[in-house]
Amino acid sequence: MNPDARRFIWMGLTLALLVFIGLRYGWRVSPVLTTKFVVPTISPERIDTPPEFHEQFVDSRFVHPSAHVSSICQMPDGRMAAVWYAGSREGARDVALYVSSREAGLTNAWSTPVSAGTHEAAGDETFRYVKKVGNAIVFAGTNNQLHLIYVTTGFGGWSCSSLNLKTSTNGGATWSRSRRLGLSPFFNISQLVKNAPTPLADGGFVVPIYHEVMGKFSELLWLRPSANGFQAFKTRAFGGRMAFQPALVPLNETNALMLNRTAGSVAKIHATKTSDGGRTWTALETIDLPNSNSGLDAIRLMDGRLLLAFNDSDSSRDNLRLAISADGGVTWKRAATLVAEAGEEFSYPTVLQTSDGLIHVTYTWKRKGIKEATFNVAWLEAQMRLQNSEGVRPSPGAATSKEQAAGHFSALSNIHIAVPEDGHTPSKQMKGVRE
Amino acid sequence: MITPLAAVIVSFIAPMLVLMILFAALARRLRFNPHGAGWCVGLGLIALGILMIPVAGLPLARVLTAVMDHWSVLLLALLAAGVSKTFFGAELLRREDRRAMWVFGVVAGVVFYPLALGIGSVDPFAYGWHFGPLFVLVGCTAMLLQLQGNRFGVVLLLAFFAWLAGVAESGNLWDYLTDPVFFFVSVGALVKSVVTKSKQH
Repeated sequence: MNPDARRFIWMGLTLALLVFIGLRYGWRVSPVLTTKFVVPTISPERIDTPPEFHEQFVDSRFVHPSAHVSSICQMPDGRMAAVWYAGSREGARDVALYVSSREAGLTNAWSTPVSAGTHEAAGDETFRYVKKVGNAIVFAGTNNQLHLIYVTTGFGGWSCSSLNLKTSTNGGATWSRSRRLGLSPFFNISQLVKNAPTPLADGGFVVPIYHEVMGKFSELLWLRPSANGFQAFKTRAFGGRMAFQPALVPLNETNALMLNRTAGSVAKIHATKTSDGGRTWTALETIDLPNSNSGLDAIRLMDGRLLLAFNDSDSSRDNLRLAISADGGVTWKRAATLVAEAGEEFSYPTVLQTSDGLIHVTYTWKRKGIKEATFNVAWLEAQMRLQNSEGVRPSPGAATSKEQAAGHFSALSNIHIAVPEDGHTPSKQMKGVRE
Repeated sequence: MITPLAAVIVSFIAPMLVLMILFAALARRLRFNPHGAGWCVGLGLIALGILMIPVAGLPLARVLTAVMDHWSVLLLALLAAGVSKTFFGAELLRREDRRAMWVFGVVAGVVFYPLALGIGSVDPFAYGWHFGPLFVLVGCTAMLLQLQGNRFGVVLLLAFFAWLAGVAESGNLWDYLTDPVFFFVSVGALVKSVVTKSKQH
């Protein structure tokens, strides 16, 4: 064939293919599609109900020496699900993901955990070598689906992680095969997750994820409904090495606040905002709360205020506090202390408000277990009133026996502390103490 | 929800092509003449056999995916051209075609990877997910190259086809255009080419 004719055939083929792709998928200048965040319905809970507070371990058997990074969600049937990882130590080969569930409410106990994944299972399901499993989040989808996104590595440390997605249609009893998400151009590594996604109006989700190789920054994983489950792609909120491990808080359909763990020398929580559904983000700013390079989580409460769980320190993880913002994250007030004990670690909180208005915070307890604090808005209000009058208070869970004897907290709330049988927690059990 | 079959096949074929080229080079050192279909099939089968060796319960080729997650169409084209030239003497990609690919590999790598890994807030990788400016840019580049008779333009067209068929786990066009190994190969080849040229001068 004439070389010129051949050239024009190739060019014509290329042009035809471009036109075909354009017609099939549509032109998009911005990688983010037009969509809207789904925000919790505003229905302020009555605060004249008695303050209620309850603590329990998600798995009180303490079978594993180490447990870390929990995530909770409410399933469509109203029950709650939790996922975390546990094993001999973080990153060990025997680490597995565990899932437990419970009825919503203040004091209902968690079911006996079942394994939701190991490195062997992840390797089998994705047909590739998987060295270890790590951070996982669980969230409810449509049609009674429960989705799990979890981290795996084939080599190296956590910064070499990839993300995997699988789904359960029976409340976490069994799971589909894992799908490895191709999200990074550099060996598909350095994609991690810690906090829950925000639902989108089209039935998809936007998941706050982060990157740790070269830069440390926050990204958004967009899961859009498609014929084969989800179409996955990601966009960046900001670059650099200032902050990462984001918590995404939708403020309304198009506005959202992203709070980030510090990665640099500024030991403060970093914030950025979007007003166009996640397409663009403002420059990073710090808020007036410290961060010791530790995980945090925040949600928008049903009454419109924002609730943040964080380590209130610029150097340690020995306390876990709550802060409230009534102005969309511009200013924050410390509201309550969930736990504090010098020299110990209470970290990686996850916050959820269930449809009954109760607020649940799960967190890593001394790296040995996952603990859940459940309370109502009235308890939070009472803690804030005391906070305003007395400053930062010690936690109910870490109350000394002297404080307990003095009824230090009993005036505030009904305190229920579920204690495991092996004595890992304070030996005293307070139930329904009320003055 | 599982790994695409095409991605699994590529994870075997790509390292197989690498091994075939290496084995042919070794054979030449041992004063054999690895030329023809017999050598190609023989060394190909040996390479495939090695890649099937079970390691940690998986074929070696799948274990390698822990490191080499995906192979770009451009790198696959270079490897296929290398095998074709080695065993059959057929130049699928001529010197000028390869040089254009190396330049693309170096430029894409130098500009793309630092940005994609977080230098600044601009993320070029984000433009590979959907049909948009990147696709038009690559398409126009392909047509320009085709107009000049450069076969790199055809390779870019193949990358479009592969993206459309979804042969990799990733749905991002960048993953079909480049990968870290292609970047390093391009840097090495371009440096070697420049050094050789300067020596000739």
